[in-house]
Amino acid sequence: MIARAVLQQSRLFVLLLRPALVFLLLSFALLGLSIGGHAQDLRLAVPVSVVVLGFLLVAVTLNDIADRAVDRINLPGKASRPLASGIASQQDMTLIAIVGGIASLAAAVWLGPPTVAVVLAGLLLAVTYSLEPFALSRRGAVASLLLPAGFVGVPFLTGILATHHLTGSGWAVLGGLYVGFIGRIVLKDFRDVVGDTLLGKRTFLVRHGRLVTCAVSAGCWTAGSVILLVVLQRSVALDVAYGVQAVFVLFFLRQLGRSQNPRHDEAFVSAIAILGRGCVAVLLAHYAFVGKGAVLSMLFLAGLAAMSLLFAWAMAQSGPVSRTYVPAWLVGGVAVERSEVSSR
Amino acid sequence: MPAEDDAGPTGPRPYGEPGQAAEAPPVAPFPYTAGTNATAKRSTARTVGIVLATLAAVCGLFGIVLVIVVLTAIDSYGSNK
Repeated sequence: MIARAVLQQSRLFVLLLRPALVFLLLSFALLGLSIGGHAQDLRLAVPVSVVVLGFLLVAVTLNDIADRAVDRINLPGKASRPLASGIASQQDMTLIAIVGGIASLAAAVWLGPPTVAVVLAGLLLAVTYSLEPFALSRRGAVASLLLPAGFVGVPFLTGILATHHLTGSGWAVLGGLYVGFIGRIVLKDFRDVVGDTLLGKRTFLVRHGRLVTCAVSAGCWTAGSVILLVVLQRSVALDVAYGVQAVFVLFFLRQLGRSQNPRHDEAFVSAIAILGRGCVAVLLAHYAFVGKGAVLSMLFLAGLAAMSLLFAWAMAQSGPVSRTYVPAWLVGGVAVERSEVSSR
Repeated sequence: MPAEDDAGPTGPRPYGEPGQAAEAPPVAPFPYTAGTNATAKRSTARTVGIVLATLAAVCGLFGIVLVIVVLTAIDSYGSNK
């Protein structure tokens, strides 16, 4: 019985840890470790990952609880929204948030007091962002400014603080990542615009419309890219591999501004997200290849940029590949157990 | 009078007012159909990813191997972040 309950909670953990978000937050944390000179240090990478994933669980769970009604319209039946789709109860979600918060804080204590302060600030942000009476996620531009602070600031600071090498340039890199991420996060509401509008959730997109949103995104993307390329230890390969992807982001933003179809919107936003991940991957590879030879580094960064551009162009060309978000056995197992419990 | 923060811009809203159903635009084909198809592009991208992951593994950069593996696994699917 206990084993079954643990198994069910474990499945919910997997459902809630969305792959793109996990990649994003862990890559920011790895970037912090890399800039601090500990790119390959597993003794730091493991506790840093626990801090970040625990924080992510809290943030995602609280947001799912707060957005249950909106998610039922925007993402009906999606396994990635276990509360809205009926796979999990609010009690399950609350338990997961508590477990995530404790795990994050415990790993932060191991890394030191500065990391504990970062995690506490992040958890406070997660609570005020999603839950009433604050519900900052419903406050348009404020939400677009605060969410990147949590999703960029917590992982990056956790990573770089673990190395004890947080300097002025580290803060500048954080600023560049933060501004750039605002350019990505203002686009996330294109997917949810119908439900947001129906339920009066006045996001930046709902308040200001498509063209202003795309213009703000382009401005933030450009500013963030310039800051990063000026501050980081530069190379021609990094400038080209990062710059080409940023230029394509601006192109897709122009197309998104002109789009009149939700399917195209989704494809363009997804293509831009791919390039965003590609840019972070290029930064990580740049630090990983320090001391491995300039030619090897150049070839690798060029290959990474090419890979991201191909994936992004394919996305813009035909939209996402359809699939079950998680394997059917995973969803089915939880759903079956839930229905068994409710029928008793 | 509402606070400026809540007033929003003047003029018609592209997705309707809160409380109203937005009109669904007609389904249109995707715009970039010239050249090789998306499946071929994704296949090429995965091949590039395999080469890069092998190169990183040879160099002992297993963190980068993981980054590439994850990217090739998730970049074909829609995500807004």
